[in-house]
Amino acid sequence: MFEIYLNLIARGLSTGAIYGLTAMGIVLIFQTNNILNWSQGNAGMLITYLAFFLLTLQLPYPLVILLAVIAGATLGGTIEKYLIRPVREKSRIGLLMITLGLAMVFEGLAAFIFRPFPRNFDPLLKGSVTFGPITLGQQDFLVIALSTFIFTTLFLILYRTKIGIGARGIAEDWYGARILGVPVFAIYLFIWSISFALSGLVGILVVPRFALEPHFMLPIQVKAFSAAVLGGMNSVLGAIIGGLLLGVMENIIAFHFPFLKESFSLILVVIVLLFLPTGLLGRKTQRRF
Amino acid sequence: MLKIEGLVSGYGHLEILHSINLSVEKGEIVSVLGSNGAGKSTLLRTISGILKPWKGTITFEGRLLNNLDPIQIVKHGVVHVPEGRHIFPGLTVKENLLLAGYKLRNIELSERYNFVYTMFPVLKEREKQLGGTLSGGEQQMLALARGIMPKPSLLLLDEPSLGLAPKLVTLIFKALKRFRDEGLTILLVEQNAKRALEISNRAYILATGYLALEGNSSDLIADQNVKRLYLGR
Repeated sequence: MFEIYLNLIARGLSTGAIYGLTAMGIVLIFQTNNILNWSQGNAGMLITYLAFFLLTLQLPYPLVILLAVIAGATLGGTIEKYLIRPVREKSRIGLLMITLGLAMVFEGLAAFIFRPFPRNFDPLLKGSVTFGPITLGQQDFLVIALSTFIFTTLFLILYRTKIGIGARGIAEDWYGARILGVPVFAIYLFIWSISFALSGLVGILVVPRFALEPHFMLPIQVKAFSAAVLGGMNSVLGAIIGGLLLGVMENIIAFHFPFLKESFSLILVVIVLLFLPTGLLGRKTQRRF
Repeated sequence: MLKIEGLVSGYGHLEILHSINLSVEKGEIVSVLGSNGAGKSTLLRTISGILKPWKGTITFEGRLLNNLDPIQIVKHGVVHVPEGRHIFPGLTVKENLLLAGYKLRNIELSERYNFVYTMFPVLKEREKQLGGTLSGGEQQMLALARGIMPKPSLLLLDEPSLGLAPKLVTLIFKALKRFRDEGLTILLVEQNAKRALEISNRAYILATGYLALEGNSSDLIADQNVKRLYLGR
Protein backbone atom coordinates (compact mmCIF):
# COMPACT_ATOMS: atom_id res chain seq x y z
CA MET A 1 0.00 0.00 0.00
CA PHE A 2 2.80 2.36 1.00
CA GLU A 3 4.57 1.61 -2.28
CA ILE A 4 1.53 2.64 -4.26
CA TYR A 5 1.64 6.04 -2.61
CA LEU A 6 5.35 6.42 -3.30
CA ASN A 7 4.64 5.77 -6.97
CA LEU A 8 1.69 8.15 -6.97
CA ILE A 9 3.89 10.83 -5.45
CA ALA A 10 6.73 10.26 -7.93
CA ARG A 11 4.41 10.43 -10.92
CA GLY A 12 2.63 13.39 -9.30
CA LEU A 13 5.95 15.23 -9.01
CA SER A 14 6.46 14.84 -12.74
CA THR A 15 2.96 16.18 -13.47
CA GLY A 16 3.53 18.89 -10.87
CA ALA A 17 6.80 19.93 -12.52
CA ILE A 18 4.83 20.47 -15.74
CA TYR A 19 2.31 22.61 -13.87
CA GLY A 20 5.13 24.40 -12.09
CA LEU A 21 6.98 25.26 -15.32
CA THR A 22 3.80 26.61 -16.89
CA ALA A 23 2.85 28.48 -13.71
CA MET A 24 6.34 29.96 -13.59
CA GLY A 25 5.86 31.40 -17.08
CA ILE A 26 2.50 32.86 -16.06
CA VAL A 27 3.88 34.33 -12.82
CA LEU A 28 6.97 35.82 -14.52
CA ILE A 29 4.75 37.75 -16.93
CA PHE A 30 2.15 38.60 -14.28
CA GLN A 31 4.77 39.90 -11.87
CA THR A 32 6.67 42.12 -14.25
CA ASN A 33 3.85 43.15 -16.60
CA ASN A 34 0.80 42.89 -14.35
CA ILE A 35 -0.90 40.96 -17.16
CA LEU A 36 -2.52 37.53 -16.93
CA ASN A 37 -1.24 35.57 -19.89
CA TRP A 38 -4.07 33.29 -21.04
CA SER A 39 -2.08 32.15 -24.04
CA GLN A 40 0.70 30.47 -22.04
CA GLY A 41 -0.76 26.99 -22.63
CA ASN A 42 -1.81 27.40 -26.23
CA ALA A 43 1.49 28.97 -27.25
CA GLY A 44 3.04 25.69 -26.11
CA MET A 45 0.46 23.79 -28.14
CA LEU A 46 1.30 25.71 -31.32
CA ILE A 47 5.01 25.16 -30.80
CA THR A 48 4.39 21.47 -30.18
CA TYR A 49 2.74 21.31 -33.61
CA LEU A 50 5.84 22.93 -35.05
CA ALA A 51 7.91 20.26 -33.31
CA PHE A 52 5.61 17.60 -34.74
CA PHE A 53 6.24 18.98 -38.20
CA LEU A 54 10.01 19.07 -37.64
CA LEU A 55 9.94 15.47 -36.41
CA THR A 56 8.20 14.36 -39.60
CA LEU A 57 11.19 15.86 -41.43
CA GLN A 58 13.30 13.23 -39.61
CA LEU A 59 15.25 15.79 -37.56
CA PRO A 60 16.73 14.28 -34.36
CA TYR A 61 14.42 14.61 -31.35
CA PRO A 62 16.80 16.61 -29.05
CA LEU A 63 17.48 19.07 -31.86
CA VAL A 64 13.73 19.48 -32.35
CA ILE A 65 13.32 20.30 -28.65
CA LEU A 66 16.06 22.89 -28.90
CA LEU A 67 14.53 24.43 -32.04
CA ALA A 68 11.11 24.49 -30.35
CA VAL A 69 12.50 26.34 -27.35
CA ILE A 70 14.13 28.88 -29.66
CA ALA A 71 10.88 29.22 -31.64
CA GLY A 72 9.01 29.79 -28.36
CA ALA A 73 11.42 32.52 -27.28
CA THR A 74 11.10 34.21 -30.67
CA LEU A 75 7.31 34.00 -30.55
CA GLY A 76 7.21 35.46 -27.03
CA GLY A 77 9.56 38.30 -27.93
CA THR A 78 7.61 39.12 -31.08
CA ILE A 79 4.30 39.18 -29.22
CA GLU A 80 5.70 41.45 -26.53
CA LYS A 81 7.20 43.87 -29.02
CA TYR A 82 4.40 44.13 -31.56
CA LEU A 83 1.20 43.31 -29.66
CA ILE A 84 1.73 44.04 -25.98
CA ARG A 85 4.08 47.02 -25.98
CA PRO A 86 1.89 49.36 -28.09
CA VAL A 87 -1.11 48.72 -25.81
CA ARG A 88 0.60 48.41 -22.44
CA GLU A 89 0.17 51.99 -21.29
CA LYS A 90 -3.24 52.43 -22.84
CA SER A 91 -5.51 49.67 -21.62
CA ARG A 92 -5.10 46.98 -18.97
CA ILE A 93 -8.30 45.19 -19.91
CA GLY A 94 -7.26 45.40 -23.56
CA LEU A 95 -4.10 43.47 -22.71
CA LEU A 96 -6.14 40.75 -21.04
CA MET A 97 -8.23 40.46 -24.19
CA ILE A 98 -5.10 40.30 -26.33
CA THR A 99 -3.70 37.31 -24.45
CA LEU A 100 -7.11 35.61 -24.44
CA GLY A 101 -7.52 36.35 -28.14
CA LEU A 102 -4.02 34.97 -28.81
CA ALA A 103 -4.99 31.71 -27.11
CA MET A 104 -7.86 31.38 -29.57
CA VAL A 105 -5.82 32.48 -32.57
CA PHE A 106 -3.17 29.85 -31.75
CA GLU A 107 -5.87 27.19 -31.52
CA GLY A 108 -7.40 28.27 -34.82
CA LEU A 109 -4.01 28.42 -36.52
CA ALA A 110 -3.09 24.93 -35.36
CA ALA A 111 -6.40 23.52 -36.53
CA PHE A 112 -6.15 25.36 -39.85
CA ILE A 113 -2.54 24.46 -40.69
CA PHE A 114 -2.27 20.96 -39.24
CA ARG A 115 -5.98 19.88 -39.31
CA PRO A 116 -7.77 19.35 -35.99
CA PHE A 117 -7.48 15.53 -35.77
CA PRO A 118 -5.71 14.02 -32.75
CA ARG A 119 -2.25 12.80 -33.64
CA ASN A 120 0.10 10.50 -31.88
CA PHE A 121 3.24 12.15 -30.51
CA ASP A 122 5.97 9.83 -29.23
CA PRO A 123 7.91 10.66 -26.08
CA LEU A 124 11.67 11.23 -26.31
CA LEU A 125 12.28 8.34 -23.88
CA LYS A 126 10.00 5.33 -23.81
CA GLY A 127 11.23 2.91 -21.15
CA SER A 128 10.91 3.11 -17.40
CA VAL A 129 13.37 3.42 -14.54
CA THR A 130 13.18 1.78 -11.12
CA PHE A 131 14.42 3.21 -7.84
CA GLY A 132 13.72 0.65 -5.11
CA PRO A 133 9.95 0.46 -4.84
CA ILE A 134 9.35 3.29 -7.31
CA THR A 135 8.91 2.72 -11.00
CA LEU A 136 8.78 5.83 -13.12
CA GLY A 137 8.55 6.37 -16.86
CA GLN A 138 11.83 7.58 -18.31
CA GLN A 139 10.01 10.54 -19.82
CA ASP A 140 8.60 11.44 -16.38
CA PHE A 141 12.08 11.20 -14.95
CA LEU A 142 13.36 13.43 -17.74
CA VAL A 143 10.64 15.97 -16.91
CA ILE A 144 11.69 16.06 -13.26
CA ALA A 145 15.39 16.34 -14.10
CA LEU A 146 14.89 19.00 -16.76
CA SER A 147 12.60 21.11 -14.61
CA THR A 148 15.02 20.95 -11.68
CA PHE A 149 17.68 22.26 -14.04
CA ILE A 150 15.39 25.01 -15.34
CA PHE A 151 14.23 26.07 -11.87
CA THR A 152 17.85 26.37 -10.76
CA THR A 153 18.89 28.28 -13.87
CA LEU A 154 15.98 30.67 -13.54
CA PHE A 155 16.79 31.35 -9.91
CA LEU A 156 20.39 32.07 -10.80
CA ILE A 157 19.15 34.48 -13.47
CA LEU A 158 16.70 36.22 -11.13
CA TYR A 159 19.12 36.56 -8.22
CA ARG A 160 22.57 36.72 -9.79
CA THR A 161 22.30 38.58 -13.09
CA LYS A 162 21.63 42.24 -13.74
CA ILE A 163 18.73 41.52 -16.07
CA GLY A 164 17.12 39.18 -13.53
CA ILE A 165 17.53 41.59 -10.62
CA GLY A 166 16.12 44.25 -12.95
CA ALA A 167 13.09 42.06 -13.59
CA ARG A 168 12.55 41.67 -9.83
CA GLY A 169 12.90 45.43 -9.44
CA ILE A 170 10.28 46.05 -12.13
CA ALA A 171 7.97 43.57 -10.40
CA GLU A 172 8.29 45.51 -7.16
CA ASP A 173 8.17 49.05 -8.43
CA TRP A 174 7.81 49.72 -12.11
CA TYR A 175 8.03 53.48 -11.72
CA GLY A 176 11.09 53.22 -9.51
CA ALA A 177 12.84 51.04 -12.09
CA ARG A 178 11.93 53.26 -15.02
CA ILE A 179 13.07 56.43 -13.28
CA LEU A 180 16.45 54.85 -12.40
CA GLY A 181 17.06 54.14 -16.06
CA VAL A 182 16.62 50.37 -15.87
CA PRO A 183 15.90 49.23 -19.45
CA VAL A 184 12.39 48.06 -18.62
CA PHE A 185 11.31 47.34 -22.19
CA ALA A 186 14.32 45.15 -22.95
CA ILE A 187 13.57 43.25 -19.74
CA TYR A 188 9.91 42.82 -20.71
CA LEU A 189 11.06 41.31 -23.99
CA PHE A 190 13.41 38.97 -22.17
CA ILE A 191 10.68 37.82 -19.77
CA TRP A 192 8.15 37.13 -22.53
CA SER A 193 10.79 35.19 -24.45
CA ILE A 194 11.62 33.04 -21.42
CA SER A 195 7.97 32.39 -20.63
CA PHE A 196 7.08 31.32 -24.16
CA ALA A 197 10.23 29.21 -24.46
CA LEU A 198 9.06 27.43 -21.30
CA SER A 199 5.60 26.95 -22.77
CA GLY A 200 7.07 25.28 -25.85
CA LEU A 201 9.21 22.97 -23.78
CA VAL A 202 6.25 22.02 -21.58
CA GLY A 203 4.14 21.26 -24.65
CA ILE A 204 6.66 18.82 -26.09
CA LEU A 205 7.34 17.13 -22.75
CA VAL A 206 3.69 16.62 -21.86
CA VAL A 207 2.04 15.91 -25.20
CA PRO A 208 2.91 12.19 -25.25
CA ARG A 209 0.56 11.74 -22.28
CA PHE A 210 -2.34 12.95 -24.39
CA ALA A 211 -2.65 13.19 -28.14
CA LEU A 212 -1.57 16.20 -30.16
CA GLU A 213 -4.71 18.22 -30.87
CA PRO A 214 -5.47 21.95 -30.79
CA HIS A 215 -6.77 22.04 -27.23
CA PHE A 216 -4.56 19.53 -25.45
CA MET A 217 -2.91 22.26 -23.36
CA LEU A 218 -6.16 23.62 -21.93
CA PRO A 219 -6.17 21.46 -18.76
CA ILE A 220 -2.48 22.29 -18.22
CA GLN A 221 -3.22 25.99 -18.54
CA VAL A 222 -6.09 25.82 -16.01
CA LYS A 223 -4.03 23.81 -13.56
CA ALA A 224 -1.01 26.04 -13.95
CA PHE A 225 -3.24 28.98 -13.03
CA SER A 226 -4.39 27.04 -9.99
CA ALA A 227 -0.78 26.28 -9.10
CA ALA A 228 0.14 29.95 -9.49
CA VAL A 229 -2.72 31.04 -7.25
CA LEU A 230 -1.85 28.31 -4.75
CA GLY A 231 1.74 29.55 -4.69
CA GLY A 232 0.72 33.18 -4.35
CA MET A 233 0.71 34.57 -7.91
CA ASN A 234 3.62 36.91 -7.19
CA SER A 235 6.26 34.40 -6.26
CA VAL A 236 8.21 32.29 -8.74
CA LEU A 237 9.21 29.90 -5.98
CA GLY A 238 5.53 29.75 -4.99
CA ALA A 239 4.58 28.79 -8.55
CA ILE A 240 7.01 25.87 -8.45
CA ILE A 241 5.91 24.67 -5.03
CA GLY A 242 2.27 25.22 -5.94
CA GLY A 243 2.73 23.20 -9.12
CA LEU A 244 4.45 20.29 -7.35
CA LEU A 245 1.87 20.22 -4.53
CA LEU A 246 -1.00 20.35 -6.98
CA GLY A 247 0.49 17.57 -9.11
CA VAL A 248 1.02 15.26 -6.16
CA MET A 249 -2.34 15.98 -4.48
CA GLU A 250 -4.19 15.61 -7.75
CA ASN A 251 -2.58 12.27 -8.45
CA ILE A 252 -3.49 10.91 -5.02
CA ILE A 253 -7.05 12.27 -5.22
CA ALA A 254 -7.44 10.79 -8.70
CA PHE A 255 -6.37 7.40 -7.38
CA HIS A 256 -9.20 7.39 -4.81
CA PHE A 257 -11.80 9.48 -6.63
CA PRO A 258 -11.07 9.36 -10.37
CA PHE A 259 -14.05 11.58 -11.23
CA LEU A 260 -12.57 14.45 -9.16
CA LYS A 261 -9.28 14.57 -11.08
CA GLU A 262 -10.10 17.47 -13.41
CA SER A 263 -12.11 19.58 -10.96
CA PHE A 264 -9.82 19.13 -7.97
CA SER A 265 -7.51 21.99 -8.89
CA LEU A 266 -10.39 24.46 -9.05
CA ILE A 267 -11.81 23.26 -5.74
CA LEU A 268 -8.36 23.76 -4.28
CA VAL A 269 -8.19 27.31 -5.64
CA VAL A 270 -11.47 28.18 -3.92
CA ILE A 271 -10.22 26.75 -0.63
CA VAL A 272 -6.89 28.56 -0.92
CA LEU A 273 -8.56 31.86 -1.72
CA LEU A 274 -10.88 31.46 1.28
CA PHE A 275 -8.21 30.74 3.85
CA LEU A 276 -4.97 32.02 2.32
CA PRO A 277 -5.86 34.85 -0.05
CA THR A 278 -2.21 35.57 -0.81
CA GLY A 279 -1.33 31.93 -1.44
CA LEU A 280 1.43 29.93 0.18
CA LEU A 281 4.32 32.27 -0.55
CA GLY A 282 2.56 35.39 -1.78
CA ARG A 283 3.01 38.80 -0.29
CA LYS A 284 0.60 41.66 -0.18
CA THR A 285 1.84 44.16 -2.70
CA GLN A 286 1.21 47.80 -3.10
CA ARG A 287 1.64 49.60 -6.35
CA ARG A 288 1.95 53.30 -6.56
CA PHE A 289 2.86 55.69 -9.28
CA MET B 1 23.97 73.53 -17.52
CA LEU B 2 20.21 72.92 -17.56
CA LYS B 3 18.05 75.38 -19.46
CA ILE B 4 14.27 75.17 -19.66
CA GLU B 5 12.37 77.53 -21.92
CA GLY B 6 8.61 77.92 -22.33
CA LEU B 7 7.93 74.48 -20.89
CA VAL B 8 4.32 73.26 -20.98
CA SER B 9 3.57 69.81 -19.60
CA GLY B 10 0.91 67.72 -17.85
CA TYR B 11 -0.92 64.41 -17.64
CA GLY B 12 -3.31 63.21 -20.34
CA HIS B 13 -5.32 66.29 -21.27
CA LEU B 14 -4.59 68.10 -18.03
CA GLU B 15 -2.10 70.92 -18.43
CA ILE B 16 -0.14 71.35 -15.20
CA LEU B 17 2.86 73.49 -16.09
CA HIS B 18 2.25 76.68 -18.07
CA SER B 19 5.26 78.13 -19.84
CA ILE B 20 8.03 77.63 -17.32
CA ASN B 21 11.49 79.19 -17.77
CA LEU B 22 14.23 77.93 -15.50
CA SER B 23 17.96 77.46 -15.55
CA VAL B 24 20.52 75.72 -13.38
CA GLU B 25 24.24 76.51 -13.51
CA LYS B 26 27.02 74.06 -12.79
CA GLY B 27 27.77 73.57 -9.10
CA GLU B 28 24.57 75.24 -7.92
CA ILE B 29 21.81 73.99 -5.69
CA VAL B 30 18.59 75.45 -7.04
CA SER B 31 15.35 74.90 -5.16
CA VAL B 32 11.84 74.84 -6.52
CA LEU B 33 9.25 75.74 -3.90
CA GLY B 34 5.50 75.89 -3.90
CA SER B 35 2.45 74.41 -2.26
CA ASN B 36 0.85 71.07 -3.08
CA GLY B 37 -0.32 70.86 -6.68
CA ALA B 38 1.90 73.70 -7.84
CA GLY B 39 3.53 71.42 -10.41
CA LYS B 40 6.89 70.81 -8.76
CA SER B 41 6.91 67.04 -9.23
CA THR B 42 5.50 67.40 -12.73
CA LEU B 43 8.47 69.63 -13.55
CA LEU B 44 10.97 66.99 -12.40
CA ARG B 45 9.11 64.18 -14.15
CA THR B 46 9.18 66.13 -17.39
CA ILE B 47 12.91 66.80 -17.11
CA SER B 48 13.69 63.13 -16.44
CA GLY B 49 11.60 61.98 -19.40
CA ILE B 50 8.83 60.19 -17.51
CA LEU B 51 6.47 62.81 -18.97
CA LYS B 52 6.91 64.25 -22.45
CA PRO B 53 6.97 68.04 -22.76
CA TRP B 54 4.01 69.46 -24.69
CA LYS B 55 5.77 72.64 -25.72
CA GLY B 56 9.05 74.36 -25.02
CA THR B 57 12.58 73.01 -24.74
CA ILE B 58 14.70 71.30 -22.12
CA THR B 59 18.41 71.48 -22.90
CA PHE B 60 21.13 69.93 -20.80
CA GLU B 61 24.73 70.85 -21.60
CA GLY B 62 23.64 71.92 -25.06
CA ARG B 63 21.73 68.69 -25.73
CA LEU B 64 17.97 68.69 -26.28
CA LEU B 65 16.34 66.27 -23.83
CA ASN B 66 12.74 66.70 -25.04
CA ASN B 67 12.22 63.43 -26.85
CA LEU B 68 14.66 61.21 -25.03
CA ASP B 69 13.72 58.13 -23.03
CA PRO B 70 14.47 58.14 -19.25
CA ILE B 71 17.22 55.55 -19.90
CA GLN B 72 19.07 57.94 -22.24
CA ILE B 73 18.50 60.90 -19.94
CA VAL B 74 20.15 58.97 -17.10
CA LYS B 75 23.03 58.16 -19.46
CA HIS B 76 23.47 61.86 -20.17
CA GLY B 77 23.95 62.39 -16.43
CA VAL B 78 20.56 63.62 -15.22
CA VAL B 79 19.22 61.42 -12.43
CA HIS B 80 15.84 61.79 -10.74
CA VAL B 81 15.29 60.71 -7.12
CA PRO B 82 11.51 60.49 -6.97
CA GLU B 83 9.16 61.56 -4.22
CA GLY B 84 8.27 58.67 -1.93
CA ARG B 85 11.72 57.11 -2.50
CA HIS B 86 10.51 54.17 -4.62
CA ILE B 87 13.20 51.88 -3.33
CA PHE B 88 12.68 48.17 -4.08
CA PRO B 89 11.56 46.69 -0.75
CA GLY B 90 12.25 43.05 -1.68
CA LEU B 91 15.71 43.71 -3.12
CA THR B 92 18.79 44.02 -0.96
CA VAL B 93 20.49 47.37 -0.50
CA LYS B 94 23.23 46.26 -2.87
CA GLU B 95 20.74 45.11 -5.51
CA ASN B 96 18.96 48.46 -5.22
CA LEU B 97 22.27 50.17 -5.92
CA LEU B 98 23.07 47.78 -8.76
CA LEU B 99 19.86 48.70 -10.59
CA ALA B 100 20.69 52.38 -10.15
CA GLY B 101 24.03 51.70 -11.83
CA TYR B 102 22.55 49.47 -14.52
CA LYS B 103 24.48 51.05 -17.40
CA LEU B 104 27.85 50.88 -15.63
CA ARG B 105 30.50 48.31 -16.44
CA ASN B 106 31.68 45.99 -13.67
CA ILE B 107 34.89 47.89 -12.94
CA GLU B 108 33.04 51.18 -12.64
CA LEU B 109 30.37 49.50 -10.53
CA SER B 110 32.70 48.45 -7.71
CA GLU B 111 34.25 51.92 -7.72
CA ARG B 112 30.77 53.48 -7.40
CA TYR B 113 29.78 51.10 -4.59
CA ASN B 114 32.83 52.30 -2.67
CA PHE B 115 32.00 55.94 -3.30
CA VAL B 116 28.39 55.51 -2.21
CA TYR B 117 29.41 53.54 0.88
CA THR B 118 31.86 56.25 1.97
CA MET B 119 29.04 58.78 1.57
CA PHE B 120 26.60 56.61 3.52
CA PRO B 121 28.54 54.14 5.70
CA VAL B 122 25.31 52.83 7.23
CA LEU B 123 24.37 51.37 3.84
CA LYS B 124 27.57 49.35 3.81
CA GLU B 125 26.49 47.76 7.09
CA ARG B 126 23.03 47.08 5.65
CA GLU B 127 24.36 45.88 2.28
CA LYS B 128 22.68 42.46 2.39
CA GLN B 129 19.48 43.62 4.11
CA LEU B 130 16.24 43.99 2.15
CA GLY B 131 15.31 47.58 1.30
CA GLY B 132 11.93 47.20 2.96
CA THR B 133 13.50 46.42 6.33
CA LEU B 134 15.40 49.72 6.53
CA SER B 135 14.16 52.58 8.70
CA GLY B 136 12.62 55.62 7.03
CA GLY B 137 15.81 57.63 7.28
CA GLU B 138 17.92 54.77 5.93
CA GLN B 139 15.49 54.30 3.06
CA GLN B 140 15.86 57.95 2.14
CA MET B 141 19.64 57.58 2.27
CA LEU B 142 19.33 54.57 -0.01
CA ALA B 143 17.20 56.63 -2.39
CA LEU B 144 19.86 59.37 -2.44
CA ALA B 145 22.61 56.77 -2.78
CA ARG B 146 20.82 55.32 -5.80
CA GLY B 147 20.67 58.84 -7.19
CA ILE B 148 24.46 59.32 -7.08
CA MET B 149 25.24 55.71 -8.07
CA PRO B 150 25.33 56.28 -11.87
CA LYS B 151 27.73 59.24 -11.44
CA PRO B 152 25.29 61.97 -12.44
CA SER B 153 26.20 65.57 -13.10
CA LEU B 154 22.70 66.86 -12.28
CA LEU B 155 20.56 65.40 -9.53
CA LEU B 156 16.81 66.04 -9.46
CA LEU B 157 15.58 65.59 -5.90
CA ASP B 158 11.89 65.39 -5.11
CA GLU B 159 11.05 66.01 -1.45
CA PRO B 160 14.06 64.26 0.11
CA SER B 161 12.95 65.30 3.62
CA LEU B 162 9.36 64.11 3.31
CA GLY B 163 8.09 62.24 6.36
CA LEU B 164 11.38 62.35 8.25
CA ALA B 165 12.01 63.44 11.83
CA PRO B 166 13.82 66.83 12.14
CA LYS B 167 17.06 65.14 13.17
CA LEU B 168 17.04 63.00 10.03
CA VAL B 169 16.11 65.99 7.89
CA THR B 170 19.30 67.66 9.13
CA LEU B 171 21.24 64.54 8.20
CA ILE B 172 19.77 64.47 4.69
CA PHE B 173 20.52 68.15 4.10
CA LYS B 174 24.10 67.57 5.29
CA ALA B 175 24.35 64.87 2.65
CA LEU B 176 23.14 67.31 0.01
CA LYS B 177 25.89 69.77 1.01
CA ARG B 178 28.46 67.02 0.65
CA PHE B 179 27.05 66.19 -2.78
CA ARG B 180 27.58 69.81 -3.79
CA ASP B 181 31.13 69.73 -2.44
CA GLU B 182 31.74 66.67 -4.63
CA GLY B 183 30.81 68.80 -7.64
CA LEU B 184 27.22 67.72 -8.09
CA THR B 185 24.60 70.15 -9.31
CA ILE B 186 21.20 69.78 -7.65
CA LEU B 187 17.69 70.81 -8.56
CA LEU B 188 15.78 70.45 -5.31
CA VAL B 189 12.03 70.32 -4.89
CA GLU B 190 11.01 70.82 -1.26
CA GLN B 191 8.02 71.44 0.97
CA ASN B 192 10.38 72.48 3.73
CA ALA B 193 10.97 75.93 2.24
CA LYS B 194 13.15 77.26 5.06
CA ARG B 195 15.69 74.44 4.88
CA ALA B 196 15.68 74.51 1.10
CA LEU B 197 16.35 78.24 0.95
CA GLU B 198 19.12 77.93 3.52
CA ILE B 199 21.00 75.37 1.46
CA SER B 200 20.35 76.60 -2.08
CA ASN B 201 21.97 79.35 -4.13
CA ARG B 202 18.85 80.34 -6.01
CA ALA B 203 15.16 79.43 -5.90
CA TYR B 204 12.05 79.42 -8.04
CA ILE B 205 8.57 79.57 -6.56
CA LEU B 206 5.78 77.85 -8.46
CA ALA B 207 2.09 78.57 -7.92
CA THR B 208 -0.60 76.61 -9.79
CA GLY B 209 1.77 75.78 -12.60
CA TYR B 210 3.06 79.32 -13.15
CA LEU B 211 6.42 80.71 -12.15
CA ALA B 212 5.51 83.14 -9.36
CA LEU B 213 8.89 84.33 -8.19
CA GLU B 214 12.58 83.68 -8.69
CA GLY B 215 15.74 85.01 -7.16
CA ASN B 216 18.71 84.41 -4.90
CA SER B 217 17.78 82.31 -1.92
CA SER B 218 19.19 84.86 0.50
CA ASP B 219 16.93 87.55 -0.99
CA LEU B 220 13.89 85.28 -0.94
CA ILE B 221 14.39 84.39 2.72
CA ALA B 222 14.15 88.11 3.52
CA ASP B 223 11.17 88.73 1.22
CA GLN B 224 8.02 89.64 3.17
CA ASN B 225 5.62 87.77 0.87
CA VAL B 226 7.77 84.64 0.83
CA LYS B 227 7.99 84.77 4.61
CA ARG B 228 4.25 85.04 4.97
CA LEU B 229 3.28 82.47 2.34
CA TYR B 230 5.98 79.82 2.51
CA LEU B 231 8.01 80.20 5.66
CA GLY B 232 5.08 80.49 8.05
CA ARG B 233 6.21 83.58 9.85
